[in-house]
Amino acid sequence: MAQYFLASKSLLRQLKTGVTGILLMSLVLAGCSQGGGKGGTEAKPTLQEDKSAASDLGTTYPLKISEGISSWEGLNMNAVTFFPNLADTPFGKALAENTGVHVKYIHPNEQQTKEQFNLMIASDELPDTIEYDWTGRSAGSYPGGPEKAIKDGVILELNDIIDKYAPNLKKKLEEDKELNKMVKTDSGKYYVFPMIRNPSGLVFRGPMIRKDWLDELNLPVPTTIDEWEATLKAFKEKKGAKAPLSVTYTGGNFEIRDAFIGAYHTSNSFYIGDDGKVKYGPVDPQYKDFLTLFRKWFAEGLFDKDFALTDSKALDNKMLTGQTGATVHQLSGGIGKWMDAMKKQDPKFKLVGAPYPSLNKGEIPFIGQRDFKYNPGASKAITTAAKNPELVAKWLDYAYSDEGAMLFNFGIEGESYTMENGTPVYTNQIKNNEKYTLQQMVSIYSKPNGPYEADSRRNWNTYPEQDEAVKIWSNTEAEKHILPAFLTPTDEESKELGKIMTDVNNYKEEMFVKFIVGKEAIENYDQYVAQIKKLGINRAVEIYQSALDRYNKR
Amino acid sequence: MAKHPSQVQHTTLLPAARTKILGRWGLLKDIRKNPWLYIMLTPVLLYFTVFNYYPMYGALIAFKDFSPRLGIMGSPWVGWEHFESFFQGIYFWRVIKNTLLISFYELVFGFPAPLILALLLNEVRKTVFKRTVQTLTYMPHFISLVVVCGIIKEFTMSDGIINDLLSFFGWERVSLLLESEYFRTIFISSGIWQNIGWGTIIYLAALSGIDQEQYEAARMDGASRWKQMHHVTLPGILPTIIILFILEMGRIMNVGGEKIILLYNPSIYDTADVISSYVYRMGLQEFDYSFGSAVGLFNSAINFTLVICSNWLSRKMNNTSLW
Amino acid sequence: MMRRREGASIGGKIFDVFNYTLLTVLTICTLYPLIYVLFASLSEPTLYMQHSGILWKPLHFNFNAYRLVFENPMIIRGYLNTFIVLAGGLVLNIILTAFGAYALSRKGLRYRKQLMLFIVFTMFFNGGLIPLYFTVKGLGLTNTLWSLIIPQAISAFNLIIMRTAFEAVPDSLEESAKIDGANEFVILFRIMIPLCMPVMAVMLLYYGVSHWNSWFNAMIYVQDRSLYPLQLVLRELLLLNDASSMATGASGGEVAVIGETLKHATIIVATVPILFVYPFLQKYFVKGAMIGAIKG
Repeated sequence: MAQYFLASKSLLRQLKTGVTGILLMSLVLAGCSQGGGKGGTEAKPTLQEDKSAASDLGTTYPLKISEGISSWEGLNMNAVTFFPNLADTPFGKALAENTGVHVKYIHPNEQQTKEQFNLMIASDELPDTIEYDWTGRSAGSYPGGPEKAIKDGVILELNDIIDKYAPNLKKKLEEDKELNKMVKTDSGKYYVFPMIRNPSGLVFRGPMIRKDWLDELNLPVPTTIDEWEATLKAFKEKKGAKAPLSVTYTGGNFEIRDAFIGAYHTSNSFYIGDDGKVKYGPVDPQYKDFLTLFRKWFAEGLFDKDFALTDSKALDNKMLTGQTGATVHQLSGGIGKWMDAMKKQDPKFKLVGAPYPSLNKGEIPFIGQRDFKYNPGASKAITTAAKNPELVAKWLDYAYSDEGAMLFNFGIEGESYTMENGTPVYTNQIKNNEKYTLQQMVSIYSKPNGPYEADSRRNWNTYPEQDEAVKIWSNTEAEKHILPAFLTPTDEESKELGKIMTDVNNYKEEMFVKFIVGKEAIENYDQYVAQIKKLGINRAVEIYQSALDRYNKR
Repeated sequence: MAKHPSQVQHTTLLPAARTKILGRWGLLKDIRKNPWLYIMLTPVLLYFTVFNYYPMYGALIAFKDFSPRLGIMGSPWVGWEHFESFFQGIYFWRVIKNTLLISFYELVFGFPAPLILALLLNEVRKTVFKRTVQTLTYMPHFISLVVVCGIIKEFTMSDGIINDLLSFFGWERVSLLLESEYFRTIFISSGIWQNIGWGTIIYLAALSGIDQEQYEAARMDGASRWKQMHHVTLPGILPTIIILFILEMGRIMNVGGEKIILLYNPSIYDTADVISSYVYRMGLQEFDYSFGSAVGLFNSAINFTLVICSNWLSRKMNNTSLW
Repeated sequence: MMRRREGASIGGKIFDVFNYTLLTVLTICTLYPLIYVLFASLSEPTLYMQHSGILWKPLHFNFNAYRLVFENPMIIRGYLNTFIVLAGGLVLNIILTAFGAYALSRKGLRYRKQLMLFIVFTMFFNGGLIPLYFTVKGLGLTNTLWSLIIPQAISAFNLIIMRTAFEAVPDSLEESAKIDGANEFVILFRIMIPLCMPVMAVMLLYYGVSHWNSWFNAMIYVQDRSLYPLQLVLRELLLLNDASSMATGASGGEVAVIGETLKHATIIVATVPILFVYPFLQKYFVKGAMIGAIKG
């Protein structure tokens, strides 16, 4: 026995030395392979060099240029079916022809964009331009935000570049003060060529309800919590709905978002109060009222008994078999999808958008879904590796020109759209293609998401109910109460925020579900609030508040 | 091996004794004597060095505040911070307990299941039946986890088939995956369902190595089938069982996180939240490589220790070991 | 003769009845998910969306989901790439694993214990994704199919399994071959591998299945879509399902509706070929194959 111990000890020691040796060796090797070429200062092209190049490029498209550029951007999933690379699509070809710039596209795999982005950043082999979220607001964006990205020497500050080489974008920014504020950092730096949403495309989700049932039961579309309760009861008792109200809940995402919660003048996350101060909804006293309501609805069977297990397949099933009569979902993924599915089987099946519920009749809903004009996700930055930033900027600026906007929004005239009375209309090849859906066709002839301004005339809805729903859902005070997505906490702040919010979200979600399904006494709400405060929620609110203050001062 | 004890001793002990005497110079001599053996070994060791040991410097990020831009070597050191934040997390003990419990049940119920199936199959005489059973039982292994979990969810919902059955016997309908007390049963039994056939394959291969003459001899002695299994079959595949068991011990801290993430929900975190699912949730938001790496290192250290212990025990008890 | 007599005992008969019944039930249970997937893939998408619980037959039989899968121009390419990786990978896997397993099964090998620990250690500790990526990149393997073959050349687990099998081969055989002047290569390929065919079959299956199912490495190492293996192509296809959640407000239309059945069709397309491999390997699992070979 003792002998064995000795033997194994020496064996372990040998192993240790061996492993340490290898570790050391690999450290040295790693040091060698990574030693060169980090630091952000070197290889930053100065603008003077650019100036000399400016004269050659010209100011009209196609540019007089022979060199190409490289771009790292996601390829729309619908386009992947047809073409492995954006350059091969009709859109890509037209863009190359019109701008005169040959682009080598590098497409990350959609499922691991973040991982591939991180690998790219770490490997120090940057393309000329990268389409990514740079705000640092979440895991899927550059950690530390745009200021950090510029400081790290990943991307270029664009103030001079936009000023000199991007007249189209510059004009849009000058005309729209609000947009201008959104796309800058707190210290006034531009960092991307932004994706600009059209005001008509900002709202695309909200509560929806079976209109054919309402008509049959002679009920109006509910607007207040009391009306909703009566309606859901009627659905349960008279239509046999087993889960009158249901929403998906997967991976901690309760897709009800702020609906119903907003009736109590709070939100399911951070929001801006009436006083203009940042608040965290789930610790508000009125949030308890929301929990109490849903706890009651759950117990009474008005709210899905399988809540917390309902994924999108389960919700499809419930919606289409009449187990559920109301939900909160998207314009296309909800209304469009389900009406499509029932078109043949039950022509009466009709979903309409319902207003965000309020507590008192006539009240304008406190909050609802509403995106901002600037969408950070699909915006392009120019990297420090760009040899000719002017060229990249000019190429990017094309999308903001009138001609470019038509290409990015509608595609190629005569092929994918025609002009009728000054309005672009999709051709039959796009709209009524026998083999492919509108979405698929649109994805190869234009760029559904990207750095350009979306056109208000572009409409992909297929049902009048969808157009109607947008109007109904737009009538909220969301604009006042939603915390902008592009606030930029400082590097330190965002790290701190990340730590706090991970803990808070974890705890909050668990308690949230337990409160609703009745596993946790509602009397413990105060303890729950105390625990969240202990986890540092006040500090998180403070960070957002200061970021918001800085934002307002931009 | 058991059949030729004299030869085993003859061939094993002598070189071992020689090793001690010759020491380091023995290696060179041995290389000269068995050059081919070392030529075979070289690409294997090279592979492990290049693809496993060289990248191990990456484990350092467990002690660093990793930022992709700075790279692994350039990121600042933070010492044990990530470990501390794991140990001091409010759910630390809960996830450790859940992980160990699920692992324990897997070891008790999940590990023997393929072995039992293999033994039962071994008793089947009709070849066609045997092959059919083999081929069909291993199929669930190939169905992606997402679909398996989708089926499990559908079956356990308040209006699913299991509730249909239970309510027939007068039980009240409940959404089974919303109740913490059922989670382990669901997790383990569905795991057996998925892997029983696949796990059997290796035992079947081992079974085919048993000398038929031993069965003949046992039958001559009038041994019943039970006795044959006990005295011939089991000893014949014991080394395989032990090796697999030791390797299984090395996975105690790694309960299948992906499946848990697909199945659980906050109301059953009490029993369902394990280390990997917890790390996934904690790391998800900040894409925290460092935190994940620190917990991974912690798990590996425990797993590795367990393997070393069980290997040592096994060597003491029946002379089978990994090294 | 012997067997018949033995089967005649009452206890044996009861056991047989019990055994056959149990195995039949078990087979049906384990088979069901695959049947479910098959039926789901052949169902009318809308009907399937509405369905919950057990499926006894395809709901309004149709092939639309399969049509959509095979209309994808990448599918054929994906199959081809997977076969290339499979063929190249398996050769390398088997040879290198056998080399390692054989060398480490020799009891006379110097530092054998340490070498085993060296290998077992890698099963527990690794440096994570990023350094491995740099290693693969540094070797110039990225964006080639080699990146799917070489970094997966040996699995420590499989090496241990194979070594356990080699250790069980009586040393007398090796000794006598050595006396005949055979070197280790000859012994490995002429004696060890033929003797351990059941385990070699398991190895083929284990390695084959892992190559067949792998997609993550391709996602990380390969950027050129024409090099995507089948599983990655199929995963991308499934993402179409999520395309409807695109925050643009467009209608998902047919694609969104077909999503769920599509998911099941891709599973069938991706699994059926590999399911057919096993019956061919089964002949190596015959009882006594090894000892029979020794004697013959």
